[in-house]
Amino acid sequence: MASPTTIYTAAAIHTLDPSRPDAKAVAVRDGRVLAVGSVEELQRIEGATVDGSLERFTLLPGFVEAHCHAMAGGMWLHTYCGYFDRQGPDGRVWSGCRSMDDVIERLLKADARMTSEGAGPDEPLLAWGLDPIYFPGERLVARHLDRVSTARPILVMHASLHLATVNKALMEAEGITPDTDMDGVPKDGSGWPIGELREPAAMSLAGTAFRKFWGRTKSEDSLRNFGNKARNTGITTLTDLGNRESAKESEIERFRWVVDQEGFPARVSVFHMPVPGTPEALEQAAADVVASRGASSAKLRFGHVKLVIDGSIQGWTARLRWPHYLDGGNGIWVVPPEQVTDILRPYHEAGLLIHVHCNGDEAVDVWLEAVESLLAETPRIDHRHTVQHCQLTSPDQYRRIAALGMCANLFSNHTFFWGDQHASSTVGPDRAARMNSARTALDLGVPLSMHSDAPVTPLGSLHVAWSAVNRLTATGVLLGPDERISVAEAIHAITLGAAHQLKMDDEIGSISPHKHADLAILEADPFAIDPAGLRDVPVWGTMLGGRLFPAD
Amino acid sequence: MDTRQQRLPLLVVGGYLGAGKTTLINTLLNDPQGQCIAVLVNDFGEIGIDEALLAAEQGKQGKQGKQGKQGNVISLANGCVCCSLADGFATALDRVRTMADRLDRVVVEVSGVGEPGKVAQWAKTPGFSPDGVLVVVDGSRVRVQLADPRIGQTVAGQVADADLLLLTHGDLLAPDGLSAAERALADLSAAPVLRSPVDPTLLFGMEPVTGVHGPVGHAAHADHVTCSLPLAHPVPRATLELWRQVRPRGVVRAKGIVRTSDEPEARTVVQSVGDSTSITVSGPWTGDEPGDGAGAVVAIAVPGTQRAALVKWLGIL
Repeated sequence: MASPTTIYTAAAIHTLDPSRPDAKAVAVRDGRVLAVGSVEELQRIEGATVDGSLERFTLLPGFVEAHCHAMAGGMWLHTYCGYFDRQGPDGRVWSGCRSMDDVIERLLKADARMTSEGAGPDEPLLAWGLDPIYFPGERLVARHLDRVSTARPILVMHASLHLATVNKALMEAEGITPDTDMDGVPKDGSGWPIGELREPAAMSLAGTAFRKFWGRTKSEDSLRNFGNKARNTGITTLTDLGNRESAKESEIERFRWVVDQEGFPARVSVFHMPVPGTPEALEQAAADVVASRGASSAKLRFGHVKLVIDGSIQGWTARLRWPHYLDGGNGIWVVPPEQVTDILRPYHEAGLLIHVHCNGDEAVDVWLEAVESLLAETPRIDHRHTVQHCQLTSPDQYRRIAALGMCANLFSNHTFFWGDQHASSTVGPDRAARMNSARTALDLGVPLSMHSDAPVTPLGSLHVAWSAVNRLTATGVLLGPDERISVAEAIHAITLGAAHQLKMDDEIGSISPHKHADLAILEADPFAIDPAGLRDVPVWGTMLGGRLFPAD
Repeated sequence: MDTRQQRLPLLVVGGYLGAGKTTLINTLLNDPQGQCIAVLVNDFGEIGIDEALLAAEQGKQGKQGKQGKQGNVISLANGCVCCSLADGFATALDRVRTMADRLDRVVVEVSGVGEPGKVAQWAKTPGFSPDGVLVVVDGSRVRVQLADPRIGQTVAGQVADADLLLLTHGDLLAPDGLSAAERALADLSAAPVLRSPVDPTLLFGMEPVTGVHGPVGHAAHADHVTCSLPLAHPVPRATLELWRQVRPRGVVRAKGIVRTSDEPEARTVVQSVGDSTSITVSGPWTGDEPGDGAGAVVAIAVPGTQRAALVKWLGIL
């Protein structure tokens, strides 16, 4: 006897399957899509039950976020104090802190809550997301935080993660005094540290609070938050893009324990990040990554590779082609450019998929040269090696990406979150207008996806798509109108386009017979609304493998 | 409490890919001067740290109670400690701290594109003391590297961060080529330039020894110029500051434990590593210090340095 079949009817279904782009019903059996079509067509399936619970919603393939980090979930274990409104994994909307007073107010409440929940006075208050770029001329220092508590240690991690502010209680507890002599510990006129800790060496002086801040991001609760946040935003497949431990049994077990539980609402592809070592060690690591594929399940994938070779544009650390940054400087390499081929050779030869973080166009050149070398040595068909972020990529590079059989995953959200700063401060208006140039990429035949890089920007594929379609900055400036793409193209990028880059397009990315029944369930039809409202389309929740997961 | 004993000297070894950092570290481990060294490795490299050397017991000149210590290599799970924002490097140093009683010093190998000056900041975190930034430079390639649009800025930044420079692969160059390389470095840094192969003792901080009488030259470093001086009378702090500023060219390292007339009950530690000098007050004066009642200083300089200049410099104290 066949397994039960459920036919879900909907207001609209956009399948992303070119042979049947629009439908009114989807039949689900054993967690997979059995058929798509009209209600009448599907009712011919013997023994099928019609379920009308989704009939007022629009169904899309579950969104696929091909560049984010599992620690994004852990950030929500700390108190949010960023500039923009942001929704937590429990559905609670945290309003943006629009002034330093807002930040203090937020922390006062968090301190009071900790006290009422029985936290001891030594338990540090940890916060994240402060972005002083939006408070020009102001500087959060210990003096401000001392208004929150003179007893409880407080650590506020800035959005860049390069800087933290701590209060006097923390400095006293950890022995940060006028005797502390470090570049990253600025002092006031009387010789006392002002409470800023710059860069990780100085930040580590925050001792217990620093360790707890990062320790929590590696917890099971962090992973659960990650999944819940995905569900709330219509995402059904996540990535942990760059995990140095991913071939280790303990890390594999942590993911299996959480993700393979039935109640966890997303699939996760965990990419391995190469750890420094000799060529022999890298050979062994590549073999370990191949072996780690054996731990994969329907919801959990191991076996792809991610390398970082430059920094970030907003941090002035991405490697740019001439004319570099407006201030004349250039960024940093994370690995020597002439070593990229050698580092990646064992992984390429093992047949693994490789994604490389290249924010700047000079970094893109280096990655493309490496792929040319690797392919000349060891030709591979359909490798799908991908340029991640790919923010300043020029048309000549996109042509080369296409010719090499590579893909691009753009950081579209940058236009909104830092577009104003890119135009005024980092690269100037002309290059800011060509950042994340999705139009050019598509026109030149590059397989395209787009991402949030959560926790760098909030997890949420509709916002990513909105940013590529509208290209509006936070202050409402239209930046690079010629690089806008259509809603249909943007939706393709956050579903099938992303699935392709994860080598999962045979099982997810469209609502097609055979694929997993993974759906984004929306309360409005993105194709029927004004594209300016794309990011505001309410998400009812998701379906993952046939199971419904309503959003919080 | 003797805080010196609890602070592990941390030497940072930087330099571009292929300069010879790992070879240097293997040399140190091969001749560890009786010391137990933890090495933090942070690079994709052609050659690995020779773990057999590390595993060997370092008992040759082992101090009492420290025999049988094992060397340790900690591989850092980061491509680049200077831009890893999470706690990877802090965790690695936590592991070193737990082994501190078995260790004499720590060497951190920075990645080939890493910024050694940034990494050196970690030497100021609890449990460690700065033991200098050594940047290894491939003498046969450095001028080409400095002119390379992709990596020139990286290499120049590393050279500028150095307290000491070590020029390698000089054998591949004609003498005038080597001089040209040294001139290029001199444009970027005032750090003394050592040539490979280097005496490992130069890379570690020295301790002034007890029982030294009068300025004595040591034969230990055949090519290098060494000078030490016991002090009989407390030194004004202002004199130390002056002393710091008039360091002769070519001083690789200097170390002193000094009693100052400003703080006679405290131990003042002066330390030079090439281009940088620190003066710190560290713990109480115990009376067990080397020298003739007010401490002692020792200095070592590159070959060719006038010994008279060293004697004169130490004589300021």
